[in-house]
Amino acid sequence: MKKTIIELTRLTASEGMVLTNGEAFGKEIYLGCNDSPDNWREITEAEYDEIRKSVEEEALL
Amino acid sequence: MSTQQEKFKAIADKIRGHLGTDEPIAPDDFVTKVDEVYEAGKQAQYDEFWDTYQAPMLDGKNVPYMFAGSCWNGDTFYPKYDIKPHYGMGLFNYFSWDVVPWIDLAQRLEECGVILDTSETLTSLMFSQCFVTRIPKIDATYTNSLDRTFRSTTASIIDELVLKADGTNTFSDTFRGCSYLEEIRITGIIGQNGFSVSDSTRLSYDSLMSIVNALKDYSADTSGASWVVTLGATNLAKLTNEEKAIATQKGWSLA
Repeated sequence: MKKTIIELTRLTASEGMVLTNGEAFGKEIYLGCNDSPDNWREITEAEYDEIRKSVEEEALL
Repeated sequence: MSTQQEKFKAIADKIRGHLGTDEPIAPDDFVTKVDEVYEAGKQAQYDEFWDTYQAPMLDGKNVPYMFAGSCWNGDTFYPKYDIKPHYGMGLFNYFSWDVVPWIDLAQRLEECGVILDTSETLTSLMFSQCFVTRIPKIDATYTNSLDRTFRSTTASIIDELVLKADGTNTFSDTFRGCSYLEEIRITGIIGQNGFSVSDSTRLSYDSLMSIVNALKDYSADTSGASWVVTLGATNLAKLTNEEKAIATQKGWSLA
């Protein structure tokens, strides 16, 4: 018999929100072993869309 | 010699001239020989075009955007020489744009007997908006930047992406908009933030695992730096908790 304990820390964004650390975005984040929930915050989906749009426009320059 | 014989001889001389031979031609072979002349003409035109077009690259000059634009497509892209650019920026940018069918670029290069060698190539934007079904192996061990290298390509397969062994390649929008991508094999090390395949929701399990397995081990890094790879919710759902933990235990957060 093999017993495996898998430890994962998952952050889940509230309804209508997206998680970000300022660079990456997601509805669900699985934290790396040295990462902290303090490094992540919630922004609204509208804010996320704005950021993505501006990054998209910048990329097309 | 009769007039008719003189005319046949004139035709035969003309054919011999085009084929570069002194061999006699029997009248029964004239039809075949006319086809040979036609094919020789095509070959000469092909040689002249590609000798001229690829000369700057063969001479080591920078030729960015060399195969960029819709004029390059499955009907026109039959390179003669190996493609080994130093400055690969936009090399296949908008290749075959608005032209169907999209070609298997790896297969076409193979059919032409041509190698795409990127072992000394700066590859940013190289396949950005490149309308093909498959991209051959890309050696990125020379280039630092993979910024926008595959951005919005329609390729469903990238045979292999070979990264630097020290994890110093950068990834800004490298796979942004790659919604067709299903298969990619990553070798080498992913060691920089910015690696995102969240737009590639069709990615296979094996492709995702090759990404997870390529992540640099930052588990001992206590500098406070944050390491994140963005797979996206659809791709995350393809991995078990155990597989996700391979990444998180190496110090990577999964978004």
